[in-house]
Amino acid sequence: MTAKSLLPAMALALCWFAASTGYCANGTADPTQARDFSAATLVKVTPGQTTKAQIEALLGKPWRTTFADDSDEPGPVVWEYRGENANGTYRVHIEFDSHDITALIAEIPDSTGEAPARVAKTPPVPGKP
Amino acid sequence: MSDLRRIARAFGLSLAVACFGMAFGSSGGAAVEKYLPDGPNVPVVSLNEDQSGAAGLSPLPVPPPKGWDQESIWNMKVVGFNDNQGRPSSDDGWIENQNGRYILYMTNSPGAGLNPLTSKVENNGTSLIDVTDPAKPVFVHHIPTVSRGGATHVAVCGGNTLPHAQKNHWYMLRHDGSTNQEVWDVTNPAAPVRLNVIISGLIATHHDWWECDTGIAYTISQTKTDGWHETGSRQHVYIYDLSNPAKPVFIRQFGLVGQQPGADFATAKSCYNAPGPNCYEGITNPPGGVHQVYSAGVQKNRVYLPYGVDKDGLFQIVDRQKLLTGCTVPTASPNCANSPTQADLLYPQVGYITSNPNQGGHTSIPIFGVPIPEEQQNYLDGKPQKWDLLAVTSEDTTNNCLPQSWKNSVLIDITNDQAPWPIATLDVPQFPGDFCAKGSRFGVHEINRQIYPPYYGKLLIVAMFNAGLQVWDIRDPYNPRRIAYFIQAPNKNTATSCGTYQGNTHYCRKATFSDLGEVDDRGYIYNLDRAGSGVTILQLTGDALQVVTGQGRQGR
Repeated sequence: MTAKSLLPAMALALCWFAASTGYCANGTADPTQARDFSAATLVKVTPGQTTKAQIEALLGKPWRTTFADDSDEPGPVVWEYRGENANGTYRVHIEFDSHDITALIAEIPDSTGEAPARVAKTPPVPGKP
Repeated sequence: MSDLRRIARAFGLSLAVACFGMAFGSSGGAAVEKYLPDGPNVPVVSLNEDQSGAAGLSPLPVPPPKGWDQESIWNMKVVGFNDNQGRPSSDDGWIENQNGRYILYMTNSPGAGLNPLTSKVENNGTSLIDVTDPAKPVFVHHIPTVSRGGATHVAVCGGNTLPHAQKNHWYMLRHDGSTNQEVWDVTNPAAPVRLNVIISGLIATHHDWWECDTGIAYTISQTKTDGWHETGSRQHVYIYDLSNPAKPVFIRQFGLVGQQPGADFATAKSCYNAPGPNCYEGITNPPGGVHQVYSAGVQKNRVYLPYGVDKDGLFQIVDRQKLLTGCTVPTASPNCANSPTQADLLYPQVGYITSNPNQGGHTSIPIFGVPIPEEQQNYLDGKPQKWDLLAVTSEDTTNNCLPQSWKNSVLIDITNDQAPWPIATLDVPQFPGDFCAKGSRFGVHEINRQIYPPYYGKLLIVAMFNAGLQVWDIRDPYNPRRIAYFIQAPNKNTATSCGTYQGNTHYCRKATFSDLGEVDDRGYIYNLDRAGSGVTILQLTGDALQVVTGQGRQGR
């Protein structure tokens, strides 16, 4: 086996060891692993203002992308993150409007399976942050 | 294993199969009957009971479901599970026996997620899961979509059944989001190959139905320019001959009167109140888009089409032969195939029934020759009577029950299909279970479409979203009763849904919701979860199993 062929295996091994901390070898968060999104971080998300790009910069790539299911047709885009802290595991659920601005964010503990969401106080104006 | 033991084991298996065949009325040794959509046949429904049939059975005490975070199960047991990579299921699913290898084609809703098999984030598409051993399902392959619209419907046919396909191959018809309808060669489930695109440039797609013995495919589609008019879901039917999937042949477009491109819907009046050359069927102008197609094939010569999804429903029954050849008869208009006249659309229509405005047309599946217990003797000519039924559903489409009405499935007598008549409602109440406060949707969605002869005409598996799969004993169609259910517990992949709850307009809850309960030709039942909680494989037990085995008290 050549050194070149060993590189992918080494990268994979690094990622494997790093997975327990939720980070891969390149320093980006592994979205499949639960992480602690602190309250101080999540409060920076302002419905009606925070863009999708800002969410990604703040929280990393989502674990899963879906669409809100409240009609026969696909609704707003939803980004989901797996969270974990001293109180247990939880889900961060973020819905975007058609302009890729956060419309709703909720932190839902797995233990209760429910939580109220934070939403924009007034409907966001298209094109304005 | 010694030869003697092998022979004994083989004999035991044969005996079991023979007994099973006798019990269920199939003929061991003779050619295996091919049921819809693989062939023109439907199973003969015979009574396990005495001459009184299943009449007079009292409702069973239905145990209340457990809490939101627990599995609730009654007269069923879990056999196996696969997480479907956390992808949320969609409207559909199909289990195909590919030379003894069972592949579950699981359709997925729009979105994206990591595929651990490729280490890539892939747009949700179609999952191919090997369920040959139902206790150990194996995720074999994910076919992503190019669009981000998911691949929410599917139909599968074998090349040995399709008239002009390659032998020993298998083919899957699906759509890529709302953009196209396409055929894949799925002979090797681990390495599917896209064969061709049937139609592209679409703006809407939905259920597909593929008659494998003829190759006729009914796809639900719409283009920007085809000129058809619908209220709500903007879609109608495009029919193709896919007997050779590599060489699709377009046949025609079809829909309800009032939807055709030439309809002047600004001035159209109700065909019921003002029949004339420019009218619309149903109570909405233009009529709601079609949601599914179910063809009963060559022998029954009927096609069933529900319109309206969640409100203003209409269930149409069409003469299949007239539908397929209607644009070639001398009386057809010149542009019948793409821009039919009102007369072109009426030509194949046999009958229809309109629901009340609160119920839509989501699903309509015929069940032929169901014995009617009350009429096994003493009525009509004194001979046992069998009716043809249509099991229909609306669809609940909002979370936490607001702002819709209660959505259930209904049994309709279509023995005379010019005069459909509802005979029973399959009600699953909000309580116990407090389903309107559980999160996600509560209400009916879908009924199993695949035929497993022992269940045919006796059991219906109805997906009720957050009330799970509800199995109904329909041996007395006038008095259907709940006989089993399965409500999946949330798991680490279960999505949260947000909606109005107790005055809070944005309250989020984690809840499973069953999209479909489908069956395979071994009798396994597949619960496909739309909240991303995977597929659960189930078997019937207790009273529900006794309905089909004819053993014991059969739930009496």
